[in-house]
Amino acid sequence: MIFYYILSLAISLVVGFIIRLPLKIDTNSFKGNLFFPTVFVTLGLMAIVDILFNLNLVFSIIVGILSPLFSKYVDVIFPGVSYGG
Amino acid sequence: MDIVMLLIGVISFVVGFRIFLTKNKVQRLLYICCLNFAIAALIALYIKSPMGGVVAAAYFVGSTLSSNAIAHTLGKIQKLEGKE
Amino acid sequence: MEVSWVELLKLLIGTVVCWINFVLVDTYFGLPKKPGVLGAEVIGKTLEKLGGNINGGYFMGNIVCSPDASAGTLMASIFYYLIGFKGGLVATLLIFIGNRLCNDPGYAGTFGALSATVIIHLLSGFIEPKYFIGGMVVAIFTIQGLYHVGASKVLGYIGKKLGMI
Repeated sequence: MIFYYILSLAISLVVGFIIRLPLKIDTNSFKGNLFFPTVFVTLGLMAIVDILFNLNLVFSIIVGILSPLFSKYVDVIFPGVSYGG
Repeated sequence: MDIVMLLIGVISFVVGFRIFLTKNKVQRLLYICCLNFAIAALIALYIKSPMGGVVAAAYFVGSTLSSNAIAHTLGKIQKLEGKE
Repeated sequence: MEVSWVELLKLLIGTVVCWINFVLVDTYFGLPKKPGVLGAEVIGKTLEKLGGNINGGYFMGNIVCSPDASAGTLMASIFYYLIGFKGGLVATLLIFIGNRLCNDPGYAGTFGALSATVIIHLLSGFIEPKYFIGGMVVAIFTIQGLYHVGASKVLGYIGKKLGMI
């Protein structure tokens, strides 16, 4: 069972490297990088899929492709809050 | 009734009384943060199902968001009063 | 009702573990250094006016204004208690979303939740996750509910000792 987690993590890191997520970690910026939201989003989505359905190869490939895309556009999906002017 | 629930209940009572007793609005906000932690823990301990965890998380994030907004408003008011 | 000493001892160990976990993670990711939002700045300055330390005040203000490693530890122990190790991973994702809603990049909360999950999993043979929930509430009570000026001094001292200010 833990094999699928590791597989989707590896897929997400490879896809993130291909779509050129930045390697440098900056703890002050809202932009994603190769490791920061990607690892946590992959593990969290895999855990949700594991609880709701069952894990198999298709789900781990889908999650592994989706999470680096989420990480690339994370500053568009969840931007910093502006307090009205 | 086990000891963990009893302890959390006692803590929330103490903090609730201190919210009424203190006069400073900022310190009141800190006590309310502590009370939010206690209530989220009690929700999860009473509703022993995965949905209870989701309810606790939703309550906690929502209460933190409102604390954030209240503290921000206090800061804005203090700035306005300081300028005049 | 009977109160056994073993339960109290487990609760005490859970408190100490949670306290150390969230204070270290929060200090490492720079909560005492600067206020993330305007509300945290107000809380820090008010505590300084009352006689406390301004860096500890920023720490406490950041805890109030966004779900940091303290909330991560609480959510991880709740979800570990209800679902298991998978629950801790779900809690990490929820804390990340909550952090972003509160105008925070989200490093402290996610790392705190993940480290708490790992620690609870390692200790789950001796101490049930229920005691970590109670321990986290006691730990946050010692900081936010007992004596604010003293707590801010302790947090500022720890931040200075770790060289993070």
